Amino acid sequence: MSGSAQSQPESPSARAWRGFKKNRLAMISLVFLIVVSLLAIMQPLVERYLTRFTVVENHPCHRYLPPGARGIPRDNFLLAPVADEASARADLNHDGAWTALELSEALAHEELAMLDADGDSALNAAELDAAPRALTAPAAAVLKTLDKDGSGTLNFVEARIFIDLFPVGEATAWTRRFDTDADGKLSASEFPGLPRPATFWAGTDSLGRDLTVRLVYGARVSLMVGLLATLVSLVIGLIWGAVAGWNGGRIDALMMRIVDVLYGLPFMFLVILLMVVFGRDIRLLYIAIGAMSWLTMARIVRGQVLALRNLDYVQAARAVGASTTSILFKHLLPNALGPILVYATLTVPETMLTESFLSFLGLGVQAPYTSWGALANDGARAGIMLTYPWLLLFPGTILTLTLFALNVVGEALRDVLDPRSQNG
Amino acid sequence: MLRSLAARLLQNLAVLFVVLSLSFLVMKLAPGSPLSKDRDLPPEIEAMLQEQYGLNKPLAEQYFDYVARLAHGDLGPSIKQEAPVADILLAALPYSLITGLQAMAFAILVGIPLGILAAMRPRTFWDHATMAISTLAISVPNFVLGPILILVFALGLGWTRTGGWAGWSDSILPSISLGCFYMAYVSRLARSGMLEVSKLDHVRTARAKGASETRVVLVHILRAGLLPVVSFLGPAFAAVLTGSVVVERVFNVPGIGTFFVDAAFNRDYFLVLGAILVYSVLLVMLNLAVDLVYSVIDPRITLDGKQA
Repeated sequence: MSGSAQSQPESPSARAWRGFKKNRLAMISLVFLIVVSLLAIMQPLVERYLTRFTVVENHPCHRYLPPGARGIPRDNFLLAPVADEASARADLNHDGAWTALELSEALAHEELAMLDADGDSALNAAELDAAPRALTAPAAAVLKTLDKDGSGTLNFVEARIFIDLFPVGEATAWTRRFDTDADGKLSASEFPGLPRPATFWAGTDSLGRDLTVRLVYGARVSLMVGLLATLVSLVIGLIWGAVAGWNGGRIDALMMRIVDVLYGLPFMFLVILLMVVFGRDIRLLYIAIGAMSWLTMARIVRGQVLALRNLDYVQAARAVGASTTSILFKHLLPNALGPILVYATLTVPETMLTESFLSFLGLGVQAPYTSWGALANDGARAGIMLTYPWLLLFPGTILTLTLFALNVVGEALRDVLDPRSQNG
Repeated sequence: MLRSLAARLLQNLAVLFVVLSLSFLVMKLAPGSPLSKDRDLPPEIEAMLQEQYGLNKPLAEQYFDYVARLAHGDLGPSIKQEAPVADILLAALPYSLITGLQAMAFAILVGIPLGILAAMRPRTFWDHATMAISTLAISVPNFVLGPILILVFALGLGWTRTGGWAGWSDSILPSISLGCFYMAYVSRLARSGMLEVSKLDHVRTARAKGASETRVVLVHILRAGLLPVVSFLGPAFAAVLTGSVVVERVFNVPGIGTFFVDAAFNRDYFLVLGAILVYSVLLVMLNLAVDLVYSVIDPRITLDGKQA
């Protein structure tokens, strides 16, 4: 720090930020959280331009595909230019028109060519190994089951199940959209170009939905519910704690006794009961979660208000005739902000965890929309886990990492903002 | 002491009553009925069943009937399972209790030594490593950890079964996935509690007198340093019990949590209320027990919550 900058003392928030920046794990966590949040906020753009697959679209022919497999997005597909050589080649019978069957065939050939590294129009074990979609089973096993003619490689017919990017059913639906004269094929004027495949980066689920975009959508729901529930708990806790701490005496004793008693309640069961009974409304979800998480916040706020309210500067504010609200909001809360902020940060992972609990039990958001807990629930079924592990591992890992990052950031904040506190 | 104990018991009774009444109201306000789910009953049979379970009476009367029956120790019939609620819960309780108690044992027996280890070498590699691992363990939801344990130990290595409950070995994985979070939390509480106490004067005096380091840690630091852990155990037991709902689902444990969720979906009123009652009683008793233990360890704390 240069000497000339010393003339003005460093502000507390600047000092806190300087301390926070020293914690490398916390900085990494913060960046991670920002990236996840940005993706979640921009989910509509993500599905339009990055994943290409939307949250709701399902591809019945592409169920349980491993990460890296490819398919044709239904709505946000890209097209190759019509003049492209591949388009001409796709017109198998050279009649100047494209049928669904031809398109399906052409894209399967294209996929085979992509996987076929040595260009012999057949897939050998090494090529299968390199193909991301071979992940469901070892390449040797795949080869053994599919190689009907015993050649040791998979030719186009044998590999068909493996390379069918654009199954005839989907191709038919796709062609129909452009087939204005309804003659079952696309003439040169109707043909928009060959649809380009997109990659299922995280694989697909039991309905052939893209897991990547569902993870991004799940982030949206999980983070939003976590934040809103924390906000609800913050509001209740602030009001309850401030009223108790400010008034003191009997009111304080009674209000804090109520908090003590509420600590002993099986809140989770009441929330489960509420969700089961009144349906899976997302507003009910975060209000209920927030309403069960405010107790500690109330205790912290009360402690802060109690400690601050008799300090000289508050007495002075009172002496010059400041109103109670203005003392509370202008003089007390800014000074109590540190511990409150710290606890609020640590409440976010807690509420997210509760949300994912409920979603895991099938009580969160409604299908086809989803959250990380619901996704983990889909992947944690006994028959699915071992064969299609990505369905559990991706949502489980991203949820764990996010909770980890939130906890690390919260603890780093506590170290710089509230060093005297010693909880956990 | 006795008087404050009695006051606490009375207070807890009132709390139980409020919880039950609230749950009753929520259940009854809900759309749907236990009879409407699976089949279309002929109207006269439905009327007969309604009559049998007292569902046709006014809400207030149903409520007073229920409370009156409770006062006689009767939890009512399960409408779906055609068995007394008390029998169902009594059969399910051991599974939940064993899982929960083992989870707590795991949390305490692993968490406290880890915390001591970290506290004895503060700001070293061991400290940082233990704390990073415990933050990670706090962040893994048990419904993610559980399936991963199944994947590794049951499906991969074949050491245990994937779920169900045929013997004690089936309780290991559920207990660990349930207890992991609390293990991590206990270790952090133990660490910070001990670090706090180790700065106090009596510890310095003990060192100055020449007491061995082991003696200083075990005798002078541990007792006061573990107070935060003890006060955490009450809420922890509570959370372990609620957490068991999910773990029971993951491992197909036939415990109370499983029955509770199914019963709530089926609108099986008496079974839901019975499960909530059992949980609340357990919670209240555990909290009371923890406060008792606390007032023994730390004489400054009294049972009615005032600092002496």
